[in-house]
Amino acid sequence: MVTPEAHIITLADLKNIKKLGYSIQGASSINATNYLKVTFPDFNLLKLLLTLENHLTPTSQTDITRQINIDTIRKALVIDYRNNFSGVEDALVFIRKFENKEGSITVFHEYCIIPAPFRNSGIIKKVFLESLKQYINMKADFIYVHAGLGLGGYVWAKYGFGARNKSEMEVILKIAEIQLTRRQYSFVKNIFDVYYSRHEAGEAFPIFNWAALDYMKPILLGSDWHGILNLKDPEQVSKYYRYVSG
Amino acid sequence: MYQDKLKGIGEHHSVAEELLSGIPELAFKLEAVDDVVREGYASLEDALENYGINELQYLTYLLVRQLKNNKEADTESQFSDAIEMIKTAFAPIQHSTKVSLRKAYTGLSNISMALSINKPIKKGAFKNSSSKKVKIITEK
Repeated sequence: MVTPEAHIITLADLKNIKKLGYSIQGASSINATNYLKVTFPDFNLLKLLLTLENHLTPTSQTDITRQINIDTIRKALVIDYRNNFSGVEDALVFIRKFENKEGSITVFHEYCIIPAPFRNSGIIKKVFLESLKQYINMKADFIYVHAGLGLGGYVWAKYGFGARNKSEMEVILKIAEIQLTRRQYSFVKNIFDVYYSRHEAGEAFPIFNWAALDYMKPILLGSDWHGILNLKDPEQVSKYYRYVSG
Repeated sequence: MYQDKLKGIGEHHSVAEELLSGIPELAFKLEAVDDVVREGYASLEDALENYGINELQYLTYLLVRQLKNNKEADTESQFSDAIEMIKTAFAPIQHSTKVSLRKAYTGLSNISMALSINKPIKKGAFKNSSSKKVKIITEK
């Protein structure tokens, strides 16, 4: 498992980050260092960005734009790393937003896509493993993800993220009602009913229980929903670690 | 804007596919069976049927998980755990139409209960499916 590592961000780190080609928006280097030290303690930003350089940069055929956005009012930090792509096939985009709300840190997995020839080649695991290490270091509480159209709605459901919005699950359920047999639908709906009867405003519906059903696959393939992973839940972290380190 | 070009894509599905590579389909189903039963979303019988899992596969899953969680267990604990897991995996037998199987399951439940409260099992307390007495050998 991942053991937290202490790290104090320094001006030298910021200097090296700039050397990688990042422009830092929203704060001067001194202010950024102090801000990051307090808002996202023990986050080794440089190490994460070096991982991107080592594994993602060689996959791009076009120039890469690198930006760090700091919002001291909203206590947020955005890593914006992307190439000059023409479409989904040659896109290299890695965008992560970190937000500290009253001491609770959430990481938003906004975009991650690599050029088609490099997909399923093993480099994503390296980036995600280093990311997880840094989330643990800074004691982040949650990861939010947008499981998009295409195959995304299905595979991210299998991954173990909980579904945040009941309304998005209701949309899936309506399609299930049309497409499934009565028995199948009853099983699927029961998971929904029992979960929301216990957690009326539930933000972590166990959609993986739907995704593991063969008959739900075609329905989830076309779904669009927002997910959450609780980094304070040892079971969820252990699962996440198993996937990124396997 | 790049956001327009990637609208609706978010975290690309190929990313999840790579992260999930190497995890057998069966593993997802077994974890789901475990979760829906533990959380009370469905009975084990319904879960096994819907996920297309049989009792032996589920029993193997429980045994492997137990082994991972408790590698140091002594023989006695392993025995107690194994009985409990057989009971758990074959819970649907309680509703079997065959009386002999239901009786066997009840016998197993009694053994499991006795083991869990550290009480000695009475000799002849368990009858097998053909209603013949089964001798339980105890250590002298």
